[in-house]
Amino acid sequence: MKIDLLQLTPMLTQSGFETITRLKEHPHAPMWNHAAGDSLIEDDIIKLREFRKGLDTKRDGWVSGEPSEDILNTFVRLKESVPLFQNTMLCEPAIRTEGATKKWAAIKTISREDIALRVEQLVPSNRDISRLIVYSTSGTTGHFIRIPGHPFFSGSYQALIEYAMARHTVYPHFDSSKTACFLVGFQIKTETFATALTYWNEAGFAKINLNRNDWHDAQSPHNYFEAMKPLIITGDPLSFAEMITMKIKAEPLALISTALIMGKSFKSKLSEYFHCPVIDLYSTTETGPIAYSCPAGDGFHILPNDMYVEAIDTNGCPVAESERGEITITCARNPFLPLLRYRTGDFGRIDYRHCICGDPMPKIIDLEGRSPVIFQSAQGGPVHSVDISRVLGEFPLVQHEFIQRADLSCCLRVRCLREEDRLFINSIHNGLQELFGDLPLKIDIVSELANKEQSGKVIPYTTFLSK
Amino acid sequence: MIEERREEGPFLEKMTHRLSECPPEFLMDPVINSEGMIHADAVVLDLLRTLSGNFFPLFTPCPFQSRNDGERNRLQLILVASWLLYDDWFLERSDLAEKIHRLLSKELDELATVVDAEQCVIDPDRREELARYCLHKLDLRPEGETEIHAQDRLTTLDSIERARIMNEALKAEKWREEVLGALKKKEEAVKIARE
Repeated sequence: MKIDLLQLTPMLTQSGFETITRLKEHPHAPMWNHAAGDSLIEDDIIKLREFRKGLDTKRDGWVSGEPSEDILNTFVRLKESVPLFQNTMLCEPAIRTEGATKKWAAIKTISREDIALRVEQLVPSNRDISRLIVYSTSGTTGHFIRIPGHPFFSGSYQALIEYAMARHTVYPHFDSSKTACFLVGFQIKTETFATALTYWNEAGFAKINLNRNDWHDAQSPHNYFEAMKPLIITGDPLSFAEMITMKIKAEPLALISTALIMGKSFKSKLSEYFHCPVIDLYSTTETGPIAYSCPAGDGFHILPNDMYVEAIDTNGCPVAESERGEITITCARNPFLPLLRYRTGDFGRIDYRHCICGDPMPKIIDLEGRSPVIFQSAQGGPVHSVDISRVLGEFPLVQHEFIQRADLSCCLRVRCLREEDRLFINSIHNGLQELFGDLPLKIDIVSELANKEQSGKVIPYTTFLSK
Repeated sequence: MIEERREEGPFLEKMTHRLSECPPEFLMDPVINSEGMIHADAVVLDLLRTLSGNFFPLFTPCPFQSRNDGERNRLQLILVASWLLYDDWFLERSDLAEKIHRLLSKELDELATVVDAEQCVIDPDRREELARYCLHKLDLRPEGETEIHAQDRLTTLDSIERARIMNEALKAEKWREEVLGALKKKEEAVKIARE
């Protein structure tokens, strides 16, 4: 058993083994169905600590349309060994010259399709792939693709989360006597496991599922949270909402929300319930964490400083500053999947202005998880999905689906956090009517919007209007 | 009128015809490690002396001698090329002696890794390729052809380039199998780790 754990977590010590035993064998622990570890070796830990230190530096000087010299140089070197980059126009950086932006914009973008159909052309051919790890992701399409990863890349999530928490004045101390984090899901079925995190001094980590079938009895989740006291809880709006519905008591130092974007009001309710800040993390499996919610207000500050984030138009050209475009990522931190102008399928604006929170990194604002949808008001004018998001964000909604039919009538289905939140429905109706005018608008409150096997993904905006 | 950088050489057909009539002795086993039927160094030296009119110093170590059996095709290709260049047109061009020396010493090596010497005698495309290749290395073009045409035609026949492309394709396919295999293997390991 210990030998198996060492294969999963090579740097595990006796303390870490005891951490895992404590998590796994607690009388109220869930019925585990999986085993996993961080796969980190000593060299990874050294690099991770350097990476974490580096996050505090080089956070200013970002310019629209031009990645940093460091990033450009990295990719020029990678051009030799990554087949898909070989026909691109990558070249030595023209530092802040007139031609730099044009040269960058001429570099062909890549997308999820490239990973799905030709992933081997993205893996540098001079790499030893013996340490490759694999993630499966369905994104919003429901179609799974395999993403090659590396333990260092996965480990960097912890460093990035640490930085984001520090920006929200949360400074947890991790050691093997503590439970660093619970990753909480609420699905019909998912992998659940317990491990110790080497980077965080072998503090405990567990991935759990709130589905009743994963536990010995109804009270077990409550008792387990109480016993383990995770310092951080990560999850998505669905799982957090379920924790509140189940009345699970927990007082983590921070809640970190991933996978879905969260409305302001709902975030506020969570913060109130759990007595801690809620940090929204914009992240994808392919890229890792991209941005974290600004502690001072709206928007997400770009988190890693080894990643270039741009918003582009349909031709692959960077849009003008603060104009809306597709969020596109360039980052080589994953040695098995360097991403050069990778189109995420998400949309937003990049704001380079100074932020009062003090983080000089640009912000992504009006972030949407798919291409923006345009609806039509009674007067015939456009109503943008992001305008609807602004209205709905004022209310504690867990999820929503907004549909406009061909006859212009609208239907909104919402899942509220609590029963009493139904009282907001009139306010929602009024807010939407201001946008749409005098169009038929029906609002339904539902207890579930998505099949849990789809990880809670719903299509928030759909139009049946002809283009 | 476009100025051609390369000087006009002999007619290509004359060269390919000459190759087709290459005497069988030139395709005999070259002497390697004191065993064989024909001394490549003697043939080349004879050609160069005839070209230059006197003693011609060869590179050392002599590239036309070998102890390695793996060099058989290279030496045979040198012999076939020597036959080709023993044509009257070249014998009247003593100014080409140095270039011919370099061609035979070094510049046929890569071609010999992808083309069989015997094919350069019996196969029409390989005859044409060897003839064009030699002219190109001597900074010449076939009589009556423009440089662009000559280059295009050589590119079409280029076995070295074809071999390179095939090699790249094989490497890419092998890499693809390796990466997809690794992804699948790790995915299987994840499945096994589930109880």
